[in-house]
Amino acid sequence: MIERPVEMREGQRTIALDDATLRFTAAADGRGEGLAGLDLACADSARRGLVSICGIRFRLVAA
Amino acid sequence: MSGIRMRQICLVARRLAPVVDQLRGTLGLEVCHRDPGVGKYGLENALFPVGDGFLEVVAPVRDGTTAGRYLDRRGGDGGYMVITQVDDLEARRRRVEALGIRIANEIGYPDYRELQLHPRDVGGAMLSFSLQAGARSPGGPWHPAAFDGTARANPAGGAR
Repeated sequence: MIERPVEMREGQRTIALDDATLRFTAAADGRGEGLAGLDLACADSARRGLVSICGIRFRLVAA
Repeated sequence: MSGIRMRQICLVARRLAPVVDQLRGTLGLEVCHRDPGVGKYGLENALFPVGDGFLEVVAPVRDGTTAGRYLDRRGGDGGYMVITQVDDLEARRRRVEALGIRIANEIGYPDYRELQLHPRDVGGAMLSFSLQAGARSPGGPWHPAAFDGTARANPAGGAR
């Protein structure tokens, strides 16, 4: 659909956009298919980690 | 292969204010824009700059909205839409039409056009393709956030 290849990375299907990666996992939370999590590059090391807001898992990782 | 960038992620919440407070308090994000135009869909929203992109939260303000039905179906707050920025919208349109994917909604302004694909044809989250005039490079103007591209949205980070 978006004319980018599906690649396996660390056992998960991914599609690389120009500036981000879509990662597909099995729907395992009982809510069905949907957007479940976001990885964000974070310059502030004190904020890094995993937090849940608005039903989304935000993973703050090193920039 | 034409360019496609992640420019905006939209979340949906039953109530907007508590989520805005959490994003401020926990992630240190600040609201940069609230778009009164989403009122025609029965929504209110808030946008936050994240790197070169934006995080949006929408919430229904009346009964019978598409977003409200999505909240019911998903059992609560969650992800709603992935909004990409593309270099050639008409090529994207031809591609999805050739694949039989329905276009659920089109948005058009003089400087911005968006194709929202039908979620039942895409699966997962809603996906949209957007073309922004004057924004071929990352960090350029972005109509949905009323961002003119003159200042970097947020140097602290961005979507991975």
